[in-house]
Amino acid sequence: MIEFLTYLLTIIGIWAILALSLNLQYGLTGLVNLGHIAFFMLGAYGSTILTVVVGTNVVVGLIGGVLLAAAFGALIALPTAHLQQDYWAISTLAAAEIVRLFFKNTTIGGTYQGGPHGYSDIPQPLLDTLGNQGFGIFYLVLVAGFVALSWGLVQWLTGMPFGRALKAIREGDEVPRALGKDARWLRIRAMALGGGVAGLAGVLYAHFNAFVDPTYFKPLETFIVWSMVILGGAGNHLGALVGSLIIQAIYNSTRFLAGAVPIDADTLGSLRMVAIGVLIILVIMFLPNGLVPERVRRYAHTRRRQGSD
Amino acid sequence: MAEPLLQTDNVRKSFGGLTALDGVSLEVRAGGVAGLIGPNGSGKTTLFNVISGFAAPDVGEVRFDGARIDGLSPDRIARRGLVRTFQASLNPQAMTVMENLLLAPQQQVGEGVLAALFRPGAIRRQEDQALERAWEILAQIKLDHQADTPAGSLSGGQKKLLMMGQALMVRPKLLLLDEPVAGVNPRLIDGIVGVIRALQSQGQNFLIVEHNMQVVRRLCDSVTVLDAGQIIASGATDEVLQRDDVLRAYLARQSGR
Amino acid sequence: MAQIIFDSLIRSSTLALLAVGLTMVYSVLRFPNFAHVEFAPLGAYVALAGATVAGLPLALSAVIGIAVCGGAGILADRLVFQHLRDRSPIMLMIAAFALGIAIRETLRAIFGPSPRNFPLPLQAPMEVLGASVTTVQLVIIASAVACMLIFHGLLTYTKLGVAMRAAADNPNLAQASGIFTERIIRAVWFIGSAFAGLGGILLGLDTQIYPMMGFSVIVPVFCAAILGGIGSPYGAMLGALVLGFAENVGLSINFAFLGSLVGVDRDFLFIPAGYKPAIAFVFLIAVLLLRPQGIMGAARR
Ligand SMILES: Nc1ncnc2c1ncn2[C@@H]1O[C@H](COP(=O)(O)OP(=O)(O)OP(=O)(O)O)[C@@H](O)[C@H]1O
Ligand SMILES: [Mg+2]
Repeated sequence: MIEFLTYLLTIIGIWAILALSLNLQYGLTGLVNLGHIAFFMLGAYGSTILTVVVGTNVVVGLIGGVLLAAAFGALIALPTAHLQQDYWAISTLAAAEIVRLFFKNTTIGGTYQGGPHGYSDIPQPLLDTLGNQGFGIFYLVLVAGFVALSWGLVQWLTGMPFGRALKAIREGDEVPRALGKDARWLRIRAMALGGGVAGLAGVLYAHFNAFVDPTYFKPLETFIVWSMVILGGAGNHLGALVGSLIIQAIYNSTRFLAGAVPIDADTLGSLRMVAIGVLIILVIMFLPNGLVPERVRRYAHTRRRQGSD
Repeated sequence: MAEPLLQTDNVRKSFGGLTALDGVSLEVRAGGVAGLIGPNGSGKTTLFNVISGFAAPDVGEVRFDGARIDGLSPDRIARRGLVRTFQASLNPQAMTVMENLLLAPQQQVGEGVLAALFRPGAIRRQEDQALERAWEILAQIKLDHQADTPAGSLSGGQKKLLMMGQALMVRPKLLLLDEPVAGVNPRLIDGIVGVIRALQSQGQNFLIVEHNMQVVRRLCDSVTVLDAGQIIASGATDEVLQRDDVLRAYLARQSGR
Repeated sequence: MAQIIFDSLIRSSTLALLAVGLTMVYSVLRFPNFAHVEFAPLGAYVALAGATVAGLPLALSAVIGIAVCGGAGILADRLVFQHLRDRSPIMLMIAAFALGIAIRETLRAIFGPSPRNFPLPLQAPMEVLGASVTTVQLVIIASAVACMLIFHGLLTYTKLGVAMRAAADNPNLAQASGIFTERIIRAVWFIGSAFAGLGGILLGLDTQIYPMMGFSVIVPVFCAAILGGIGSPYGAMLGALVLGFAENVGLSINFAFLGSLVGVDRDFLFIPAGYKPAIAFVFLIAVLLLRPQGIMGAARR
């Protein structure tokens, strides 16, 4: 039981980092990125190839995975200036599938490595020293630390003039540009930052699971991250955390239900996705700001007391 | 004579078959308030778009502060010190009045990611200064009691004022205002005129599009009249506004609407 | 050669049916309906159930499948999209994504994940102009062509058609003038979704029926619609044709001549078959970057 709980919490943590990064891109900046899973994959594969094939240590793998994902973020942000929002959204979906197809069709490493086989035996830091259970708890603490770090990062940036500028371009370029803000450069940075953070989640996932293959990174996963952000409340980073908790709970509920109801695992697996789909439609219809709506920063108290007030 | 602050040279712009600007050569000199008037659809906003980089001229040049600016992106033009407002409010609706104002200043340290992380002191100081100035401006445009109201909940006139407030936060070399008092509560108009005049006496340059002739008379030292994409008159405000052809062009279009 | 043309035509037929429906909904409601492709497995599974469970003739159960899809389109609008008319296209798009997943996973829960086939006798291919072809494949192309002709009639002679063409020519004006009455919107949902259902049935006849059969063509379908200028039905047909050929011809071109240009000396240099799905993706991105308004669409921003 403890083992399952640490597993579940670790997974929730990893997905929370993904949700936070999407919230930076969509919630704060308004970028409709439908290829979010690509960053996760690039982080996971980047670190995996570095550690398994090249043979670096995990820290180098982590840095490499994050940088790779961030670079991809910057790359797909480039055409935002020339495309309508919905066109760009569709092209991000396509870009993510190209990334997945690339890894599916490319063998980097040995004969049975990469490509459709994926990679196994991805190093799990301190596994030998700590043993299985110890590793599980260690990794949970590690992930929790990274969740806190990511949350701190996006929360801090949101409160800065940088976050304010991102919020401004969320509603259109005209006014920010007329005031001298380089909207494109802001978007590139938002995509790279969010990409890097999502890449971090991918790195953490790879070294937790010790195995990755291209089937883990389908567009459906992007939708799961989206549902976390929409349910939690786009623009509120606490909401992203709440959203990932609830969605992951539903997603993993089949493990509890499997014994309790007379439905086979496959069908249950589908039904939970139906539930998430319907939930998101209901949230959009009846709770458009999510469970934890975006907060507005107040300034009235900063006003100098003047004679009349 | 010194080079004008802003100069357009034979600017043409057409949309499909419609010629919105038909060879416009305009000069705005430093040290005053210039007016740009003309009937609806005469091309005033289009000229603003061309000057501020939101639309590229088909033909012609735009020079500002001694350098060509046509072909530059709007944000680069703004960073060179030419800021414009929009005829319709395009402000971020979900952001509050105060956030809108604080967004405006240029060269904010905290807009860089690394600076945002590692230079909190400098950001703090800038924010405090900006906040102080923002409160002054809010008092002038009578929005100080609505600092925390989302821009989307303001009235049309208030949105106009907010946009002007933003532009004032920047203190650019030249400010282009597109119909600053249209839709504004008449009781506030005197205040706006006062603000613009006060800024002008501190050396702020303006180019203003406005349909309210009283405001044009009170504010502008010179006006240029645009009709069907062409300049039909230009000179000292009093003289131009008395000319028959100007009145006729104006009246014909206004009543023909 | 003839074989490639033939394979391309089959692919184009199914893509066209899906892309035309997508573009119709887009032209009226102005959002990319990600749920659209899920009507393909819906139509295919309903037809399959009609033919196997109820034992109806395949043609009749296909008609039922198509009608059910049309009805489901109207239902989707009534239940979800009608209540979101004043929301941003982005929200509609996310809602459509969610609806698509709900439809697809419901089908998977009912029919199971493994692929099914329509109950057809095994057919010996015949030779037509040097290509080997089955009767079913001829039926696929013929029904797609017939549908496109019917659709052309609709566009030319009905009020719906007038409204849709006006919308494709001038989206802003069409929105502003309110030519889209709720009746027209309903008709668009019905026809668009029914086309997608037929597309799904044809896809199922050509290959297999499985829950992901719709989603797996989402990028090619969007690509075809955008290629032709989204909102333009004829453009979508042309886009489907171009893409169908690009996919099949692309794989059969020997790129060795390109290799020799960059100094790689190989006799054969084909795009690996594993990359076939990527052709549409690359195409889409290239088209979006080079001509965001589509091949036929008028410039719009
Ligand atoms: N983006 C555009 N596409 C097509 N036509 C345009 C566009 N922008 C402006 N026009 C046309 O160009 C002409 C000039 O418009 P403009 O907005 O510059 O006039 P204006 O002088 O600002 O009028 P108003 O006093 O009503 O604001 C009008 O006929 C208008 O319809
Ligand atoms: Mg105007």
